[in-house]
Amino acid sequence: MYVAVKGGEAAIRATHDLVAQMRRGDPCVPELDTRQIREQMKLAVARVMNEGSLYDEDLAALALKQSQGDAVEAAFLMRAYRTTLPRFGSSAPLDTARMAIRRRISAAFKDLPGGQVLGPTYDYTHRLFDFALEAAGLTAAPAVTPGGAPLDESMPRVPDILGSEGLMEPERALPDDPAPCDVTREPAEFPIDRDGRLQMLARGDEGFLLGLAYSVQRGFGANHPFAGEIRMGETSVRYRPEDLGFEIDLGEITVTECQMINQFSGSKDAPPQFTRGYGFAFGHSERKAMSMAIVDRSLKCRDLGEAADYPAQKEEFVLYHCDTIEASGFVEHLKLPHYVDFQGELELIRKIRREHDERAAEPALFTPSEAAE
Amino acid sequence: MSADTALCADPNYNFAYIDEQTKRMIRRALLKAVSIPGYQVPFGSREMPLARGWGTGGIQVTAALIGPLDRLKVIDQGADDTTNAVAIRSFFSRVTGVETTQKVAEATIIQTRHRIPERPLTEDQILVYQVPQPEPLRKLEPSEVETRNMHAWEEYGLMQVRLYEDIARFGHVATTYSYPVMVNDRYVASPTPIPKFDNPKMNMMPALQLFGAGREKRIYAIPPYTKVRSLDFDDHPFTVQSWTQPCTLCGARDSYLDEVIVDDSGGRIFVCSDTDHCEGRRELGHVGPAEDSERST
Amino acid sequence: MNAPFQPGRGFRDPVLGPQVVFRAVLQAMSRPGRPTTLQPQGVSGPSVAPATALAILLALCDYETPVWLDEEWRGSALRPWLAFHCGAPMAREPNEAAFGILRAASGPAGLARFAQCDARYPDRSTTLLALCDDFESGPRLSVEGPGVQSREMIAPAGLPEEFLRDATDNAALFPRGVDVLLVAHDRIIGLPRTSRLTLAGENA
Repeated sequence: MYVAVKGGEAAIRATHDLVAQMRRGDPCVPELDTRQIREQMKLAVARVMNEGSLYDEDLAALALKQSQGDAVEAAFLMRAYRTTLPRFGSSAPLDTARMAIRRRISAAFKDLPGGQVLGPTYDYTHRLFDFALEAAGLTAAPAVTPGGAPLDESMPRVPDILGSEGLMEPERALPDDPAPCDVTREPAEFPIDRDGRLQMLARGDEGFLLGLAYSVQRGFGANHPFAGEIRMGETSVRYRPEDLGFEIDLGEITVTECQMINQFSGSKDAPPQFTRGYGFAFGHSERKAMSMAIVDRSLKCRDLGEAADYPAQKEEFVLYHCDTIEASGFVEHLKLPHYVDFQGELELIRKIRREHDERAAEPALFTPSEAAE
Repeated sequence: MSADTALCADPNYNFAYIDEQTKRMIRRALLKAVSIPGYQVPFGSREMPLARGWGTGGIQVTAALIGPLDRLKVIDQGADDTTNAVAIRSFFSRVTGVETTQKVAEATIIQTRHRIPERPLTEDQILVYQVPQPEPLRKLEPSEVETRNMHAWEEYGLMQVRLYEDIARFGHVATTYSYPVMVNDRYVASPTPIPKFDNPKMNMMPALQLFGAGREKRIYAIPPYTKVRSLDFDDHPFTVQSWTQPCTLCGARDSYLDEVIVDDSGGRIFVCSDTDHCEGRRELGHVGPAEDSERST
Repeated sequence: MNAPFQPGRGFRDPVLGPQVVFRAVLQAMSRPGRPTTLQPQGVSGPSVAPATALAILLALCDYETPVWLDEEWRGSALRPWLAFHCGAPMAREPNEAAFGILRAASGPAGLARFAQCDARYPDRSTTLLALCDDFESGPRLSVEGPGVQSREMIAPAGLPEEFLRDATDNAALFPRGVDVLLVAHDRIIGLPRTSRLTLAGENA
């Protein structure tokens, strides 16, 4: 006779052991140290911090180790941990105009105050394997000879330069400069303000935003973006505790900022001018920051009175679906048992087919596929 | 962890995992949900150590409710030993140390995915549903801005049209689960993907029903003894599924049955989806047709 | 009002105390008209308000929930007590309040003064604690609505003036409207906006 399957708990415990075994791989190969991940997998660490919505390189490295390098799983670990952390408040605004620049480029101007700083980038490398990296323990980082003059003290942001001519849409603080909303505390309400939008995009899946940004460029969007400026470097985070009454320095973080410049033909209220899209990411994350900036501009359509015809202009579509953790969780939840609902569907489709057959049986008409059932 | 709780909860986490400020936020949302039956209250859903879509809404509701005197039962598809139910039950054991049970009658809180137990619930119980999509109108209208207005102004014509189109096409409403309900004659609500077989149990239920949608960040509720009507038409009244054969194991004819494939040539049997119900019946000596025939031979 | 600040006490157990209080409030709001006993779980504060009401505010309020007090109580020891224990800001106007305390001494109930919100977000309305003397010696009211199997009879004494009329008007606003929790000593009765109150005659 049939005996219902039992023992789910033991089977689940076994999966924990199996995944631990798979994570370790061949025990003859030395185990990864999370410090190695933090130092040598920096770009992966940055992605995990961005989508995990938490700046902590050590935890991101641990998350990558624990998840066997799966960035989405690693971001999920960060998010779950983030839930347990108390929230003290909002930091003071970062002043990226004063950050310690390691890379700063503009595609809109040949030269500009402060100059182009190429910095560490794969952009100008040939994508050829460096087989020397395969030989462990042999590669020392090359000594970098300081090139020419030290960087300028002043590195004004390109859109600000255009702004002084009145050609650029100004970014104005809201009256009273209210604290930004936090979509992790209060759910997003649509239509959403820009602070919530930028937060959701900053936490969003890099691949999804990249695809959307690409769609804007290819014609599913109304604006041609110029990379006004991309800058990467270190900036300090400052916080003013209510009871202290003055700002304290919490430490330095690496960030990437991108401002895209787009045409705007103007409207009956506004003269033609450039508009901007803003992208910001933890760590060195240019692709993410650029994609975010293009999508941010695309989503400004409501404020600018542009028609919202394309996917990247529809804020509910973009923002509800860009979250790595929510998207992966819901797609993968299809692995959970659904047999109760499936039973309902089975019952219904049998009933509908039975009724269909009964109707069809009247003139005794069978199609081959039905006859073969 | 306080001294007067003799519970062995994991000391690395707050009781029930989430912090007290978050619990207050969820508790406030729950109270408003109870006051506006069927209305979806937005809440600041947190990320949990279980995946979005895997019960994080129900988990947060349960975490905001649970205390040392509770006994928790967790079911998925009606069963206590399905993977999701096991994972959630062991999560609460770890972070609260609260006693768990598989018996409906012993539980004070029942967290469920996709089923309402067969045994009628009592006034002393709370049923917590895990909700994947709280918005019953979402498949008809993808925009939250629009569906919120539809609920606000009680504009449910679109839903009636959708159901009627089914009738025109198939002769009956082709929705077998997540069958929409009208709560307290005001809000159309999703009963979550329970089979429509369970819908009538929601009406005037003595237990409080709470619904948590973590990914969608909504909480809603049906207070005890509240009118819940499955949407239908005078000429096409709401009906539930029925089976021609009883449960193979316990012979029940009035429970929801799962189909189990027993061989590779289409052989199948039907067994109760509610494992506690089935076991309880067998303990009382009920047998199904299979065992009946085995005994008589 | 320059008496030294008396901090009183918060929850004996800061995690399980609020849990017990919340469950009692949830029970009361889900079963309107049925009294629920609620011990204050160690909470004590200014003697003007019953400890049970203070425990409810402490369990549910924090820096995100403006609390409204009538003018006299705004100047009382209650205000620093609330600020100290839950960090709750004072609501400047009744319609900004997430929570509020009503009492007979401060005049007519005036439920319509409080946040009713719009029909798109009816959850953003005020929850009011209405202080009573007891639930037995006042006018007899029958309570019907979701959460009530047939009807419950209550006789709250010492309610603010015009409470019954206001509550009836409030119920007619559904889904908008405020929600009320009656508090008398260590017992509470929930009257969410769905509750329909009717006068059943004076107590004998």
